[in-house]
Amino acid sequence: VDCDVHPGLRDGIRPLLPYMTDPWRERLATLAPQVECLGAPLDDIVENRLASGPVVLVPQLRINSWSDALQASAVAAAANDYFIAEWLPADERIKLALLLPPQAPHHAVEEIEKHGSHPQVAAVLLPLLSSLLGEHAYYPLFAAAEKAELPVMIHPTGAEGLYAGAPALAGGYNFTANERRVLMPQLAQATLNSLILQGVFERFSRLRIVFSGFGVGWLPPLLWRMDMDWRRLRIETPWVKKPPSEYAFDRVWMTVDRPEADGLAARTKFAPRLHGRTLYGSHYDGRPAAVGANGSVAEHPTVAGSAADAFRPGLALPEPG
Amino acid sequence: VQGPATQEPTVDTPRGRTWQRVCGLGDFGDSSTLVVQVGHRSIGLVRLGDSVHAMLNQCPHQGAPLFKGALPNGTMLPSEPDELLYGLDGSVIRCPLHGWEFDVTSGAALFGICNKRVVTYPVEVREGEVYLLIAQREA
Repeated sequence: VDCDVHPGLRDGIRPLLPYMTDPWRERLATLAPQVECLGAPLDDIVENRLASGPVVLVPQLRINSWSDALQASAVAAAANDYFIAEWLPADERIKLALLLPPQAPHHAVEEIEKHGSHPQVAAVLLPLLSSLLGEHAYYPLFAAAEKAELPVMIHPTGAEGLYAGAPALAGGYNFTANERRVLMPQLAQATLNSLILQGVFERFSRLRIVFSGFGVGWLPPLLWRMDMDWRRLRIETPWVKKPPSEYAFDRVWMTVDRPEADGLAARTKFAPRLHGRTLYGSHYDGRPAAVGANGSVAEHPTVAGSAADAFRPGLALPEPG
Repeated sequence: VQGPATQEPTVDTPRGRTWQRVCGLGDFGDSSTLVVQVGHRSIGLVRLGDSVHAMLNQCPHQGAPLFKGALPNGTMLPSEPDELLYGLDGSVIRCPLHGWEFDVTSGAALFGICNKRVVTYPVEVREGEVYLLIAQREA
C-alpha cells in the first residue's frame, strides 16, 4: 500500500463547487481558483500508481490556514463528497483519507459519521492547528474515528509556520519554504507529546495515529526524552500509566518515502520496537522525481510496517491482479 | 537529622547477619526520617507510627543520597485522565536529584518508572530501640 498519494485538482478547488450548497458555491466562486489542491490527476494515479497495490489519497488543502471554521467545514465536506463520487469509483484500490476541518470538531464528527463506513475510506486526515491534539476539543473527533476504526492521519499542509491558525514552528518565523520544511518534524514531536501526556491513548484505547510527511528520525530522541522525564514528573500526568514510548510502539505509525529515512531510527535503542512502525508513503504528486515509483521502496525490509495493522482491516485488499 | 553512629553489641546473629542497634525510636518523630551510619553504609530510616523502615541512602539511578533533606511523601497514584489521586502518604521517598520515587516499605521503584530497587534492611523495634539486620561485615 502506498499510504500517501496526493490527488491534484485543476483550476484550484473549482471542481468542488458542485458539491457545495448554493450559498457556499456563491461565496467561494471567486476564491476557488486560488485555493490550491496540488497533486497528481486521477488518470495519472490510475495508470502509474496502482501496479504495486492500493493507494491512499491525502488531499493537500490548506484549510488549517483559515480562521473561518464554517468555510473550512464546507470545503472539507465538498472535498470528501467530490473524491468519493468522482475518484473512488475509478478503481477500488484507490482509498481516501477523509479531510476533517480541525476548527470545527463537530463538523469533523459529521464527516466521519457520513462517510466512515465507505469501504474505500481508509483514514481521517486532520490538519494541525495551533492547539495541540491533547486538548479536549478534539475528543469527540477521536471517539468518532475510533468507532469507525479509522486511523487519524497527521500530514503537514504547508500552512504550518506560515499562516496564523496553523501551528507555528519553534524559534520564530522562517523566510522560506525550505526552512519550514526542514523543521516540520517539530510538529510531529509536539503533537505526539501532547497526545501521550494528555492521556488521549488512555481515553481512546483503540485510537491509531499515522504521521505522514514527517519522516521517522524525529521519533527516537522524542521518546528517549519523554521516558526520561516521565520517571521524574510522572506525578504531573499520573494517567500516563506506562513509559510514554510504550504508547507510541502500540498506536503510532509513520510513513517514509525512502528506506534511508529509517536509517537514523535504526541506530537507536528503540530500533527493534520501531521495526514495523513504518509504512510506505510516496508523497506522489505527479512529479516524475518521486521516489519508489514502482513500489520498490514499499518492499524494502526497513519499511516493514503493515498497513493492515495501521488501517482498517481490508484496506490492503485486493492485491494487484 | 543525622543520627549517632553506634557501637552497640549485637542481639543475635542469624546466618551471617547480625541485629545491630542503630538508634532509639525516640530519636526521630512520626512520619520523619533519620540517617544513620553503619560501618561504611549510610542508611535512611523512615518512621511510620511505631514501625520503622530502613533503606540504603543511595538512589539506584545515579547514587544520589535519597534522604538528603527528605521527608516521606505520598504521591499521585495512577489515575484516569484529568484525575489526580493522592495516596501512599508517608511511604514514598523521592530522590532529590531526579525525582525518582520509591516505596519505603519495599524499596521498589513506584509504578514502573524503572526496574531497580533500593536495598532495604529488616528492622525491629525492641523496647524503644531500633535494630537493623545487616551483614556482619557491614556491622
